[in-house]
Amino acid sequence: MKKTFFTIVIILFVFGALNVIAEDDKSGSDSSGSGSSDSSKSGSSTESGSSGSSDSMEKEIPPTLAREERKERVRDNLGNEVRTEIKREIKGDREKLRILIEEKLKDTPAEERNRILKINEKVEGVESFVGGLSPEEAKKFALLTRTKQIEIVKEKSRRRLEMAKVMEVKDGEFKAREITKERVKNAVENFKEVREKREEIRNELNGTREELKKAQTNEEKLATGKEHLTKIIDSELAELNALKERIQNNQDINSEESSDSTERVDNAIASLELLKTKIADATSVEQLRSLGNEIKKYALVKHIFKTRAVAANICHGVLLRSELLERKAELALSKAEESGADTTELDSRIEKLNALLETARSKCSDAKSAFDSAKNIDNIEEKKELTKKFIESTKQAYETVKEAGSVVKEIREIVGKLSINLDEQEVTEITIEEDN
Amino acid sequence: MYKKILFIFLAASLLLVAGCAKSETIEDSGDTIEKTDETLESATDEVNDLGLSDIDSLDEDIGLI
Repeated sequence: MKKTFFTIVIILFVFGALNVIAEDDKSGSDSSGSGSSDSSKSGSSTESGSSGSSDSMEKEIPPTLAREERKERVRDNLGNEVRTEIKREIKGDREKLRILIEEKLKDTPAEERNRILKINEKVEGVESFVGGLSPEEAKKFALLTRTKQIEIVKEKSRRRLEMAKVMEVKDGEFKAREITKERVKNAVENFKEVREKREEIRNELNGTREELKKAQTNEEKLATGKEHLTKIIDSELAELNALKERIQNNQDINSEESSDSTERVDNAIASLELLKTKIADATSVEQLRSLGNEIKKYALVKHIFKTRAVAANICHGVLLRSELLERKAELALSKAEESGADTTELDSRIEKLNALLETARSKCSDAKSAFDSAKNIDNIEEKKELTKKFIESTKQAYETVKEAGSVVKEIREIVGKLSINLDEQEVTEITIEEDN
Repeated sequence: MYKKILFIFLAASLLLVAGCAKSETIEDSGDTIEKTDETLESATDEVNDLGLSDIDSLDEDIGLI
């Protein structure tokens, strides 16, 4: 018994010791990360940053110095001296900016603050712009993507910062409201089922369409036309009911919008039910044609909210999650730069991701405007045109975020090779300009 | 006496193993890339289905009446 006891105690001791060593390794690598962040405070980040981006520095020419004079010195074989002089000046500007952002953004992690230093190499006036910001505005500015930071500095637009919102990253899903996964899944599946059934109805409609083509007299046209239009309405009703469930269980649509959309879909359902009765009672082909035209209005309502359901998933959920990943990639880049790794490829991938997400945001914004106009307009032709635009922008936004997804995967692979885990980068807040 | 101590050690090691397993699950749940992929995949069908072809055929059908 004694032997067994001692063996188990020794095993547990060894197991515990191994755990402690593993933890030490982990915290060691963490603290080397944060340690290097802190070291940026003492100026070493300026040095590593400058070595990481010396190419862009060499391209930059400070506007305050006489370029002609420098050109002459370069001609006199004093190129190296001029280059060193320029580097020193940029380093000085960078140092001033570093001190300034450290003062403004005391509570923001060093990796986040250092991103502002990078844009200083691409746009003039960062220091004076950041100097004029309140701490709250500076925080919003620090959390923006570099493309937006550059745009805002160029425009000197504090108003854009006022409009921006800081959003807390909770579970990384960015739900507009709480809905269980099961309900979301059921609603998506039911909607899919109804859309698949629509194919069967289309085949049936082909049959009545052929009969309609063969109809000679008005009586024949009236009877077949009634049957045909009623089938169309039944198909629309089935899709609208499933669509209602899809909207009500969409975590990317907030409660207020969901109620408004549900009400509009309910009105369309009620109007189509009434239309069905009117079609059954129609006594002339002219009357039937006019009632047929009315179906279009409600079919468009279906298209508008059907597009909105998927646009919300793309432009709210997927886009915000992609923005979160972009921020994680920026943090990974900061860490890689501090460790002295070659970050050229990673930097260019992040630039690409930045550009793609900017395009996606713009398409989502177009989609949102088209949606807001299309749902409120009564004229059928105008409604149709706006719905077309809405669909087009949504499809473009989808294609763009899909491409962005592939770039994120490439980034994950690149940072993985640098021994950094993209998913483990801790981002607690992101700034968004508008809510889609 | 030894039996008691042994039992306490065994219970402690069980708790330790359970704790390790739990922390693994928490790490696994934070994969934003996979969540984004899932949503995009489920959106693909719906995006492909967007279009106004039924409105155009309704126009043609009304013309036949």
